[in-house]
Amino acid sequence: MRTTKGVSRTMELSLECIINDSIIAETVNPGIVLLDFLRRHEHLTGTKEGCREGDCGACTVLLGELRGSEVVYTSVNSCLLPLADVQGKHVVTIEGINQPAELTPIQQAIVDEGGTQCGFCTPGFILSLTGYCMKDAQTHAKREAAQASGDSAAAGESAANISGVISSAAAAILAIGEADTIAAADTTAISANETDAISRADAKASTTVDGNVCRCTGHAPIKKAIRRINEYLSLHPNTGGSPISHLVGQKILPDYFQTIPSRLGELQKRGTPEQPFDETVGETAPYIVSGGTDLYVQKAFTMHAEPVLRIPSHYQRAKISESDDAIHIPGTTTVEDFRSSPLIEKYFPGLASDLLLFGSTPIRNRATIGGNLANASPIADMACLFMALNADLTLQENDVTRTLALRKFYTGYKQLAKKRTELIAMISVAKPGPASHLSYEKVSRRKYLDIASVNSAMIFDLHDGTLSNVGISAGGVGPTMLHLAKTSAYLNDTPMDALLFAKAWTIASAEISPISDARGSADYKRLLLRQLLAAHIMRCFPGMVKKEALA
Amino acid sequence: MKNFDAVKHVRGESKFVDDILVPEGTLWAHVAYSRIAHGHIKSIDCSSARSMAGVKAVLLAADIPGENQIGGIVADEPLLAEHSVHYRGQPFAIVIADSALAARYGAEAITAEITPLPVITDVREAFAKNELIIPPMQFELGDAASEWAHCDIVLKGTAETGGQEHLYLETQGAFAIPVEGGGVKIVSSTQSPTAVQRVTAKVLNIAMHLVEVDVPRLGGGFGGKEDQATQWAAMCALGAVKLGRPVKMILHRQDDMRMTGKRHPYVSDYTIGLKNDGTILAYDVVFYQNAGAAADLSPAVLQRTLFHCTNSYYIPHVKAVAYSCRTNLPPNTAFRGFGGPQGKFVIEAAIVAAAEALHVEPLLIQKKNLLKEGDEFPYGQVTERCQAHACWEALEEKSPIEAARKRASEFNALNEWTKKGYAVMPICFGISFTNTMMNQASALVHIYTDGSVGVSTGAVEMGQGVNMKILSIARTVFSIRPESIKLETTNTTRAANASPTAASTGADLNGMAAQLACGVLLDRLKRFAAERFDQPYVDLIDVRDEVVYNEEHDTGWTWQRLVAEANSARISLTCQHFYATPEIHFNRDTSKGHPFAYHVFGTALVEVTLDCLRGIYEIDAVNVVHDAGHSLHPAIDLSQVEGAVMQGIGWMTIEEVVYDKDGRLLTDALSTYKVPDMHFAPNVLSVDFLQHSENPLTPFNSKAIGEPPFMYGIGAYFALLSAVKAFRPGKQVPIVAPLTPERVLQALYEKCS
Ligand SMILES: Cc1cc2nc3c(=O)[nH]c(=O)nc-3n(C[C@H](O)[C@H](O)[C@H](O)COP(=O)(O)OP(=O)(O)OC[C@H]3O[C@@H](n4cnc5c(N)ncnc54)[C@H](O)[C@@H]3O)c2cc1C
Ligand code: FES
Ligand code: FES
Repeated sequence: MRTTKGVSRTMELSLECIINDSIIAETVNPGIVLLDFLRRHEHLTGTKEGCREGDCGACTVLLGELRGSEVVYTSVNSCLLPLADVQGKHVVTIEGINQPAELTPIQQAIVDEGGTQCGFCTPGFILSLTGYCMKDAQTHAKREAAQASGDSAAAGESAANISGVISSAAAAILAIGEADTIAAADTTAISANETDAISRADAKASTTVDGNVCRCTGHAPIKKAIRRINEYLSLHPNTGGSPISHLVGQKILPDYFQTIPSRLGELQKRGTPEQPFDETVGETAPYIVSGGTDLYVQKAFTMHAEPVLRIPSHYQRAKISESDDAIHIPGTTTVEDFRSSPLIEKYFPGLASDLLLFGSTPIRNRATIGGNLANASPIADMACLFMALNADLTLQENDVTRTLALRKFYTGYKQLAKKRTELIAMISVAKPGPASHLSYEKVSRRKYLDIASVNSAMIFDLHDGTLSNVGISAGGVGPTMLHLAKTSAYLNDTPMDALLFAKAWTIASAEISPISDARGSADYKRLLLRQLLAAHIMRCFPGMVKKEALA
Repeated sequence: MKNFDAVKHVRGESKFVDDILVPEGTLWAHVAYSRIAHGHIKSIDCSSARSMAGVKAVLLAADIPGENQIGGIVADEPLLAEHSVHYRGQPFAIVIADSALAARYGAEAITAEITPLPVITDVREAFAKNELIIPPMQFELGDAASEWAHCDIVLKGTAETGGQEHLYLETQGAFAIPVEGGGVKIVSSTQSPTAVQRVTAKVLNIAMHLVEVDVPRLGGGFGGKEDQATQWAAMCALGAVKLGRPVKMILHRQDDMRMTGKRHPYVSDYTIGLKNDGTILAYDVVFYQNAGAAADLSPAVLQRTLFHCTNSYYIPHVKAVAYSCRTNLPPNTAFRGFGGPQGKFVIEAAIVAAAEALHVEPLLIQKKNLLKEGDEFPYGQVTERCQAHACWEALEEKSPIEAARKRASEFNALNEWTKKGYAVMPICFGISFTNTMMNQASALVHIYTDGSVGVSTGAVEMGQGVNMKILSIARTVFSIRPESIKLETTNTTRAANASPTAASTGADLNGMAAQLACGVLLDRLKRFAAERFDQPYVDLIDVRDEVVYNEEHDTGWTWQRLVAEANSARISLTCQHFYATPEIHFNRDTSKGHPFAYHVFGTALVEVTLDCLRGIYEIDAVNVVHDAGHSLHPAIDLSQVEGAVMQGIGWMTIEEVVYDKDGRLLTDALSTYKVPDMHFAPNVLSVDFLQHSENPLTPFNSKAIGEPPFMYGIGAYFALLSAVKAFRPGKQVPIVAPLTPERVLQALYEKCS
């Protein structure tokens, strides 16, 4: 804890990175957030602070990382980003986007469509949309490259992938529609809806600004600006060059971006010092910091002074893999990497669009699955998913590893069956069989960028109208993420009929103990869980739950 | 015209209070506030805070040299609590330290011993205990009491609306620099520089001329910085004067949300009487306003609720009574619409209930009772240039309501679990400060010798585009390039005694003053040119596009030459001008008069889709016909309407302010308080401006834009309600806004066990 002297940590880091067009070489406290460094130290005041908790996007910057010969940029909330994590990277703020004389096409579109009023949120939007254009140019480049090399499968695949992402994004945005997929008759009307107003590209761009809030314009003018940006992009497609030089040519990025790969390469060659692994100070057990999207919210004013245990980089580089019967997800996998993993798409089709309901693009770019599980929130989305999937955790401290079922991991409200310094190294789940179905439900006050009031996942195998291998999780209805063991057991090997749901609900209702809080009253959460369980069933058995059964 | 502010915004070059470089040696302030909603302060222990690293001072009420009082309308609110606290979040100490963090740690180390007293958060309880901020207000037209007998149906009901967090994206903040002579210069994010100046002078016990307040621009205000930006500035000033060093304070979002008031929640009881054909004959309504712990602007907000209690309808017999009730919540304050939305919601609820009883569509009753030219409002003013029908009809043409009805009913017949709903929302909103004396403004215009122009007014730029509007007025008068005109910061030394930028009047009042000042200067220059060119008729001199004409002949003089020559001839290139709205008056004793310069009208059609399994919903489309007069800047006005609509929809749907019974704000962060985002905004938000709407009382026939369109959002509530009823026909649903997914689900289903 803090002493009366205030800051207790003495850790220092020789920071070497590039901010916009300038090399930074400074000794810094690695635990402060990038936002403070930018605003208070570098006086780059175009990056704004609106909330300091990842929920407004006014602080959005782009973070570029050298991968091979290319720099790959992602949007991040600088208010939650430990300065340590910009080591050796390129930080882009609004000051680094501006062209000397004219506006970029993105800036111009916002101006023309009335997409800025007070202007406080605006730099964040510009950064997110610039990130979108970078992604767009990248996917174009990939497709072109594949086509040029005659790899039609890859070309086709990447095209398919893109449309896959787009259409699910579009569906998620447009469709209140899940309900409609439930009853067959309900589908007709939404598809009509889908064709109007927003195009697929617009939906995709909207997704990249899902972490930006504008209180003044209410976003309608920004939607129009996005339409205009997409028109611009389609008029000026990247025909195969490097995405960055293409965007420089289009005046979306200033010239200096072309020099960044080699400059970052030089930094890397010189070997930027890695942050010390263990910053234990005194006798307090250190915090494992991963994405920091939870720690820096909970301990916003003390994290800079807390002892931390940084995750070694070989863990951070680990990738999602499969063995004969299981999928293995490193604890350091970000939600966005998980969401966009082809392996996950292969085994859990459709999950990618469900996971658009997790945080926002910049949050998903940072939030890790290990962090989500260790965070122990009773409404954590990844915990919800993996609880239903009956995941096994590989826990590790120093060289000692052990395996523990996630269903045994939570022992009470925010209580874990592990030591604070034990790392969630791996999450393993059984591969779903051909008859498996996964249903994910989350309801929050606002559909996007909101924490669930109640969430639930259900996995089951379906043979001849009978369920087996049922796993149901429920969040927001107890002190921890719950595995509805009795309800799952009851549904197992029972033929589905119209009365089944009512019985299952009686059992489920006894397994939960919701309390009232800012996310809803206990009565509401109970009712909502019933509805979500009904939604799981109705996904596979349209018409099985009758309106009368849900009076 | 190019929007210069927007260009700065997209480049991140606009300077907000926290972006301005402060002088070296600036200290930071942090507020210690009560964690108890009501109690007697027994003691405050600052000893550990005072000994903390970096802490320079802890200031308490006793350190205030002047009056410990910030109340504007009623003197009932201390800057720092001294003997008692009345809400959670009430400031009682200021810690000043050499960093923001050290100040925060210091504030957290202060402990106050407070003996708890009973906490009231419920407005009905406050009313029952006679906790009234001011005596009740009443508006009356005709004789409602004796009219019930003539009605075919009479219905009673209750309607509730919740609070709303302003969520200006830039939190409250200020800094103060001590200046010679015992004064201070304050830079503040306020809608009311004069209020900051007046209160600071009172707190410091110095004259107002020793306090200079400068406002660069605001990252959103929406009313939340009209009265409640003052205290932070005054605290910085207190610190600056005490320590002789600049002091800065920027509130962290959570502290801002906990300490500041919000839109007033209301509970209202109504009785409405109609004929079978839908004509409304009488309306009786009692408003209970949850004012929070101090008056703040509540009395004025309460009054506007009464002004707008009949929305856009003519009702011959009205009795409306309003109570401002004191509770132990942070003092609620101005918020876009200023009590108007709360008043309109109730009459709409009454109409919807009546429609159900009469088995007709609500829109039939709405349309039947729309205001016509010459109709009398309950406050005695009669409509002039009434556009209620014109807007409704233009909407029907733009986006046929019948088609929406058909879309919904066809969809609903096909879909069991998903239902569509729609509602029409007409609005009528009076423009002027209802406190007549506040309808005044001034402008100071300098022309520099190179022909460039600087304009200062009392208006504060907060995203509403007032700077660009005034710039366009100046440009139109002078006929020069807009690049040659600059709108200065708002500063008490250039615009003294200014009214707050509020009540949508910023551009009207300050724009008029600027137009007059520019007109005087132009006249001066033309007279001078006439003399030079031996032209006896000044009117035959003209300045167009920076060229001076004499009897339509190019004189060879440019604007720059004209200005330079005038300066050489020792002609003043500066003009200060004043403007006061003519004709308006209001008698507070009789509640009758002519309080508004004019009214703004409009109509919206809101369509929604409801997922009846999960209780979540989507706003499909909002179509609006809005009366903006002759817009000064159509792009700005369009964005204003769009933004206001979404803010109004947010208030009615997902924005929920929740306090527990101990007065603790549960929704005290952006993670728990949700405003509309990209995905929540409808794909169709289409706004048409009403054609041919004249308004002689404003610059170039324009109309105020800020607040009125907020109230279109009310349509979202009733559209959702109609979708609920499509799933559960005939179900009685409590009329409580916001209609959150929680309330929707509880309306769709019985409690389950
Ligand atoms: C704006 C915003 C939106 C959010 N939206 C969602 C949402 O929709 N759904 C949701 O579920 N959550 C959401 N979150 C919460 C949070 O982002 C997630 O829980 C995230 O997955 C945490 O991961 P992290 O890597 O950032 O964790 P950190 O903040 O780094 O750490 C969180 C906790 O986990 C521990 N920890 C981290 N990694 C490991 C590891 N590998 N092994 C052991 N312990 C570890 C840390 O010590 C700490 O106690 C949101 C957060 C924000 C700020
Ligand atoms: S400041 Fe709001 S997201 Fe970072
Ligand atoms: S322009 Fe003000 S918050 Fe977006």
